[in-house]
Amino acid sequence: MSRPSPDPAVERYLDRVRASLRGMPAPEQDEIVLELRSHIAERVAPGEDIEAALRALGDPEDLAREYRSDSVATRAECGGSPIVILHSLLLLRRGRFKGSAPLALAALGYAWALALGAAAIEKIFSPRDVGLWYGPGAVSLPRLTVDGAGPPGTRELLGWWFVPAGLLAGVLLYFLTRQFGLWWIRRSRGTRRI
Amino acid sequence: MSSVPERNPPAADPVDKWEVQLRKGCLELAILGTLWTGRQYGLEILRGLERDSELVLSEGTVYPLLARLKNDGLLESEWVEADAGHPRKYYRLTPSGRRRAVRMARLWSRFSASLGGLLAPLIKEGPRS
Repeated sequence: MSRPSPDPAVERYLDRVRASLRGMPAPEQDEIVLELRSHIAERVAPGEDIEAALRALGDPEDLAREYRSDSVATRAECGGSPIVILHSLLLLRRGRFKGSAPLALAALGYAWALALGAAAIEKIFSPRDVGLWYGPGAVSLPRLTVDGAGPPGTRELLGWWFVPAGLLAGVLLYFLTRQFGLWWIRRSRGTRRI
Repeated sequence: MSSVPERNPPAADPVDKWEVQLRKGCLELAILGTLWTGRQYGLEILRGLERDSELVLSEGTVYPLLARLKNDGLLESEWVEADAGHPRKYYRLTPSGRRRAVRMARLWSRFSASLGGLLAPLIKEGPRS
């Protein structure tokens, strides 16, 4: 049956779906909304309650999240760059807090990977300013010093080995973070409701 | 018109949780199986699943799953202008989807037969409730 006049309840529902599909390519969003519109039109028999059809589809935000998690998971698995993974984790958050911990952890992982790599390279140019120092207090992480020496009372570990060790640690952390991000994304994809 | 399937209440019982997982795991095969004989559109697939299987599912679940199966290259879709006055999005199995459906169906059949044999005494002799 044809429905020439759009129903305000249907439009509100579809608007909410579309609003929650943000981050997905526009043509994909259009197609999803078109298919849902077609489903609703087909599903509602003459004189029947449109609200019942919308209830059967479920919460619009939940529905959009199902689409989004599949879409971002596919993109993340294809690309796997830090930006794509972090963006996917951002989109997969449920509400403000749920799912924020993996995002923060991945961001921290990438930041440390970058910092370790950058410190290893910096060591080549300023060997006396960058390194790993060990002293009575504690092991000091890679740090820059102004006066060209480590903290007082400490001795430097690794020396030039800091360059390959830092690079290796950075690369390792990068891949670990990537695997963690992809694992979480796949996990979110697997926990769709029935 | 069939009744509106309600969303499942939160599954607190471990057996209920297990059942939800089981259904979830079978839904993909059920959709591939539904499309084995030819193209169908979303609501048709949904009605078929409601009729032929006990996979009671919220209507909202099937569409994102169809989108994923399409992204995975197992399904292809086309829009067809229907007499109903609105276009319908039809899905059909791709060759890779057909292969996947056969592999999954064989695996399922083997699995359920062996488990069925193992569980037959339990079902016969276990308490009624």
